[in-house]
Amino acid sequence: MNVENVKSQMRKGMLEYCIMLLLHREAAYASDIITKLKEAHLIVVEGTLYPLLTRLKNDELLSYEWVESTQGPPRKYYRLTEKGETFLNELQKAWQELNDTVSHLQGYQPDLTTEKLTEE
Amino acid sequence: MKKTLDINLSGRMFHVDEDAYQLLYDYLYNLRHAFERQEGGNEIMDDLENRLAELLLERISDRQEVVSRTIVQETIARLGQPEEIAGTTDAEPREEEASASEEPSAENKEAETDKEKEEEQHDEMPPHNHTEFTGRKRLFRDPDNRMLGGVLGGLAVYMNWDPTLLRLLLLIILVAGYGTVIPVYLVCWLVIPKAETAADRLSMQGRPITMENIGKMVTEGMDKAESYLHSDRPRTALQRFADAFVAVAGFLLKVLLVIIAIICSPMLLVAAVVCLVLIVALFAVLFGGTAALASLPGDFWTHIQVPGDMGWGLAFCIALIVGIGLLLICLISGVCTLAFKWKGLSPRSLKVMLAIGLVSLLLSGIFYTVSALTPEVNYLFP
Repeated sequence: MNVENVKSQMRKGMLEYCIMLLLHREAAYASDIITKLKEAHLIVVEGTLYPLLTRLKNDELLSYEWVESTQGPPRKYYRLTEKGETFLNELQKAWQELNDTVSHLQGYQPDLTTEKLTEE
Repeated sequence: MKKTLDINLSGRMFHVDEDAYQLLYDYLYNLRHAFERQEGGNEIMDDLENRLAELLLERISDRQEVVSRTIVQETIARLGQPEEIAGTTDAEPREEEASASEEPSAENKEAETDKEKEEEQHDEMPPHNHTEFTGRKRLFRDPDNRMLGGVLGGLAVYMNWDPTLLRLLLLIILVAGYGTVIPVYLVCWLVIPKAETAADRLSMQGRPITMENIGKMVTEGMDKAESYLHSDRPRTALQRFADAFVAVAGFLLKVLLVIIAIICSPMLLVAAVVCLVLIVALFAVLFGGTAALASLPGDFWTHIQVPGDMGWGLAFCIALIVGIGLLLICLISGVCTLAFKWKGLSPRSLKVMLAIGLVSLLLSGIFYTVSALTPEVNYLFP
């Protein structure tokens, strides 16, 4: 059991959710998403994002359009599709539940259990 | 003084040092290999190349600056190694395998000391970049050290032998009249995977798959024969002839191998013959009526009697041909993927074809039953 491994597993699990959250607020370039995810320490290497974006796009949760840029060739501008919005809503609920469970467990007092057991 | 090359990366031009170019080339080659078989792999590659160009642009102060190897190395560290990037989409079973505990052997000890040395060199690396794998050797074909398929080169690395010695040994065995080594070699060629990614090469040599080692391996690739073949360095006519000869001989051997595989596997052969015969039968019935069948040679028809109604019989034929044909295509695609570098059909279309093929076979069974139930005389096959 390695702390770093578990931590990276946790991050991996919520990466899609975070990408969709970012795009829910505003459409963005891949480079913007990278900057934000890096700030949040959600990804270590930048390349990780691209297979995820392509997969989300293939599942029709995201769409993109080519937007001309001032420097260099046009770039992909990603946004959430309608299907993506409903998908995100589902994830929001799941996250809320998970969050509740975790905060419940965090506030859990071990001596309470023994009390309960003795009461019964 | 250094030679530079002009490259076009995702529509932008860069001046690149020769050694930096080689590193970029190897990196992109490994990336492409990692994503080749994935759905949307080409798109991912385009995105990654595009990002690579963006990152390189950020690193150089003006368009005239030459991209050095250090810049490329830093950019690769930022974008990530193929194993890091592709690893997020599917869990690598190999890693679990590699992490299984091993009894310490001489090679492992060697690998350990190797690793320690590298760790000393890379002390500035953040600790989470270390992946703790014990080096376990796996048998690969070595593309960097090959005469034909790299089987012996890989075996030599695996057994810590000298490849030339091994080759001579095989030649002696061959000359001594043991021709059986040829099919054995061919089967090895087909079965043993080629070490293509940096991680493959590391596990071939029994070195632990750490980020440092992978990085080193990509960099080391520069001095290897494979890179030499791709480089623009002039080669003598003799060398080029030898290259072409090896390529052609290798290709012919593989074609031969596939043919042998088809002949040897009775199921495949029977399926091919049945399919061919059924197609002939279908056309005979379509254009010549039932009478044409009688004129076809062989007593094959007595084996696949279709009783009853002509229409149902024909439907049975068509369904059978479609079914067997599709299954055959799937099989051939599988064999080709194994034997050649051809990508083959995508997993999705394979699945669809397999499903349609099976349904057709089922339908042909139903048609056969129906035609048997119809109280008419058997005039499809007189």
